[in-house]
Amino acid sequence: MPDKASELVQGTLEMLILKTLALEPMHGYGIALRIEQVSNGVFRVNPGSLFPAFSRLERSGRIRSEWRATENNRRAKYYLLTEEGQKALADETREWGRQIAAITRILEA
Amino acid sequence: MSALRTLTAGLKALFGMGRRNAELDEELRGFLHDSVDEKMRRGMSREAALRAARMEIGSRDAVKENVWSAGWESAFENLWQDLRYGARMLVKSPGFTAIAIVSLALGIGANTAIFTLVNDLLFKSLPVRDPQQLISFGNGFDSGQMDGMGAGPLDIFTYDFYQRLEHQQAQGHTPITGICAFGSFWNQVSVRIGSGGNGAATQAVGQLVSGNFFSVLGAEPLLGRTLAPSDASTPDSSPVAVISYRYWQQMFAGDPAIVGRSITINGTLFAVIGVMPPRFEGVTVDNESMDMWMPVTMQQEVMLQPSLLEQHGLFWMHIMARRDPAVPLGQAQAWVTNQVQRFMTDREGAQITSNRKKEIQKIYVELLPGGRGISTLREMYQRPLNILMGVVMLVLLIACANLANFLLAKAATREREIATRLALGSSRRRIVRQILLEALLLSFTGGALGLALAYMGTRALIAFVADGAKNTPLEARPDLHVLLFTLAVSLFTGILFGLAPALRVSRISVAPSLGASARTAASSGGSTGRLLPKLLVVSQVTLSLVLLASAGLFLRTLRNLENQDFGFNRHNLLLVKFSAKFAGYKPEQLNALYARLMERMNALPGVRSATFSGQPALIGGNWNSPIRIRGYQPAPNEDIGTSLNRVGPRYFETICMPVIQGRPIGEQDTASSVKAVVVNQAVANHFFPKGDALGHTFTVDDPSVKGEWQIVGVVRDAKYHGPREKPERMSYLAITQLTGDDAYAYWLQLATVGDPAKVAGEVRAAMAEIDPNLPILEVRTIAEQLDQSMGQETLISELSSFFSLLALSLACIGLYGVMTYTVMRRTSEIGIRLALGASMARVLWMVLRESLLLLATGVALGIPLTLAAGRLVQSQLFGLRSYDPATLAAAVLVIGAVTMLAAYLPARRAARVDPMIALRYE
Repeated sequence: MPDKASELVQGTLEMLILKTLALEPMHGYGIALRIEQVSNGVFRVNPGSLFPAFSRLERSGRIRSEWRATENNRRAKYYLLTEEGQKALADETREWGRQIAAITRILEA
Repeated sequence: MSALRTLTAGLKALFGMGRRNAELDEELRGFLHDSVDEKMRRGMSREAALRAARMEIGSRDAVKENVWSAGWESAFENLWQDLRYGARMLVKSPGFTAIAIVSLALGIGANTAIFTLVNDLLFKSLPVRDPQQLISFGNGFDSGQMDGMGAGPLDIFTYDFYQRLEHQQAQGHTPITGICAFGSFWNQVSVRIGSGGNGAATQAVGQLVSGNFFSVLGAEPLLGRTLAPSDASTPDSSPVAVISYRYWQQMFAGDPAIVGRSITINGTLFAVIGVMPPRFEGVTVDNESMDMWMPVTMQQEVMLQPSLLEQHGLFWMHIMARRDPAVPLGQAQAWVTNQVQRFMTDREGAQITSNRKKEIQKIYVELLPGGRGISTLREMYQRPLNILMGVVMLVLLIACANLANFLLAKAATREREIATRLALGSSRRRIVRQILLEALLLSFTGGALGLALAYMGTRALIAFVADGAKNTPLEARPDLHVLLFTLAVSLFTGILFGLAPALRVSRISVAPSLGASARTAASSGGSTGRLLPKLLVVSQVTLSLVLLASAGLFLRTLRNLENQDFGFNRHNLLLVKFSAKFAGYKPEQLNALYARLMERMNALPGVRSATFSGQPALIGGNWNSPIRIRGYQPAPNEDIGTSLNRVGPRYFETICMPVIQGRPIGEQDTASSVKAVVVNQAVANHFFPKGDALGHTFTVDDPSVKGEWQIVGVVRDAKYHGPREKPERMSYLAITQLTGDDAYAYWLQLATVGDPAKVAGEVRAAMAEIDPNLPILEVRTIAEQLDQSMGQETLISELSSFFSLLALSLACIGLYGVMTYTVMRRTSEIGIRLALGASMARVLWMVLRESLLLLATGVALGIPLTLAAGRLVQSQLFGLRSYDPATLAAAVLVIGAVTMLAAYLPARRAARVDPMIALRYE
């Protein structure tokens, strides 16, 4: 695990949350942990930005939440991807891919 | 859809804030728990894991705050916080807040008051269907004219002309979709309510209208029905009346069974067929509002006069029409003008001269917007109100400059607070918003208070403009337009005076302001920091000068008008309006009544002389007619008309109008003697330039004035309608020699020894003694009459003086405040100067010099502006030019004296500063 975690690129956190939730409904810590693990510890998301992002996503109808029991029998708020969220994820992934490709071309030019 | 969702989510969040925070707490606890578990699984000790996890999460409150500010409702909450903070700041300095709110209330209140009247008189549309489609034939100011319509615009018509147009319109050959007519004068009628017409007689105001009046206007009744064309098809056959809502409430207590009830109007039984809704006041917006509308075909009964409906009748009706929006106005106007010219030609008959034909070709009708109704009040008060609107706006600007200055000073003293907030991470935007919010808080509080002030002020204004009319269509209650206006003015004002301090605050930097000697830093901020307050003071001086000088011009105009020679007695004259017609007198019985009246009134103690006439001094009637002088050959197109009045014996003696040649009308002029007329100088000079008017005779074109009249006297010219009129031709016929309707006198005039108002009671008693049924319609003194005829001048001059004094005091408060503030900031500098040996006089001069410079700049800018403003109001002035040097000099003097006083007080305080205290002032 590298010592230094990177700052997330502005505006990508919501996309990462949506992507994580596309696999299965998860609670807050689960999402943070998953993002950290999948990125090999490059991105660490702290609650200060995670929870406002949930709030924004929920407001815009891309995710919804419900209280469920966890595997170790605790009550936790689970976040679920809505249909709208799936659409947004697809759009954003496509847009992101386009931008990355463009940036790579510029850097390699 | 998404906007709606955002809104509902936001509102939910706002109201379910507690529950939401609890949930978030639980979520965060879960997060912490999971995080600790995970860390321990990786081999950390429990304590180390807990600490690491807590550090990761950070402050829970910060997380909550972040979540909270992700939604729009947080902005709302911030605003609320800022508002509360602003209110606290204002409450903390109650003196400043009180001055600010009061000056704003006065400024905004003045604007609202004048605007209410402007709105009532100039903007408000009639409550009818599509008022913008209504057009008026001419401005509708004339009322009743025999004939001799010369070239020029025509705004008054005969009944048969209306019928002719109506007929054509019905056939569909017109660019107009509806046309209606109504009497140009309102008729005062005597009404008896109660069975058999034996209730007490009351006076009411009614208008004669064509049968389609209501349908063309598109005005629906509240109860019953309005007039229908069939109600006005045959003369004298349909005694019906539609009454106004107010009349219904006042006279019938809102009786729901009113429709179908009978009332006796001038002795004829009429049926009430409908009640109009509250807002409908007819088409005339004048001081008195209408009580009822009756079919024009009932004219003889309502006016108690011979028919005006015959062909070749009097020009006495106004016409309004509804235009077809598809037809250009110019086309409609051409059509109407063509119709009028053809009508006039037909009216002249076969013997029409070619000159007259040419003259008729120059008669035209202007189609004017009629949606706001017809109003002589509007014509009279339009310019004064526009001027006053300008004046009150200047007052408000001065108040704004004041407040901007105060807030600038306050912002400077708050520099430390603001720097602290900036250092703690507050955004500049929020601080600027805070300052603007405080300004808006002030302006809206001032605006609300101003609205209340305006309501009271407007009532007084309306009472003045409507000249004491009991029921006026003008209302003081603010409608939506007025409320919006006040809202907009408050907002604009707040931004205007909040902007400067807000901008200043946005430039505050953190470092020096937090240093120990912040004040020194600020005061050494150089001249740029103090330039804005100075500019504001200069503009206040400039605007005050403009206002003061204009007020001076108006005051002098009023004095000139009052002090001019009216040509008759303006003191100790009582005017009493009565109606022998209402009491049922026939023309043949009048001379006996007059003789009794004269005998009784002339014998009253305190009465020097009494007389009676058709019209009194200064209430100009509109009776005029061409005259034909025997042996006088008029030139083509020569104006041979004269105004006419009918007077009894002792008329000229009573109103003190000097007889220059011959004799006045007297007792010797009886029904059987030679008909006598007295003319004024204007008539004599026009027709008899050699001064031989006496003994000549003339006939009057008005067919009701029969016979040949001999000029027995010449009197001096006077003012007959108002104080601004040029000498007008006037002929006084002996009333005792007139017949029919012209024999009625309506005004008693009594010259008294003392205050004429004191005799009023005895006059009433004497009238009742002669005939208890003789109704007295009005009693007023000539002074009251004079006041009324100078209504616009009085209104402008009194209000503009009031407002300019207000402006001046505001400017003074402002200057005083700025000087005090400047001196306060320079206290240590002054202390050093004094300690270094500067004399008190020198310090005094140093401070005063600054104010003098501001004053001089303000006056230098103000003089050209004042001259420009004077040109704008030139038409309202009388007897002086707009660049009247005396007025200007006086205004400069007043403003100079007051400004210097406002500057002297702080300057003196500065000079008395003890150097030791001053140096420790930091």
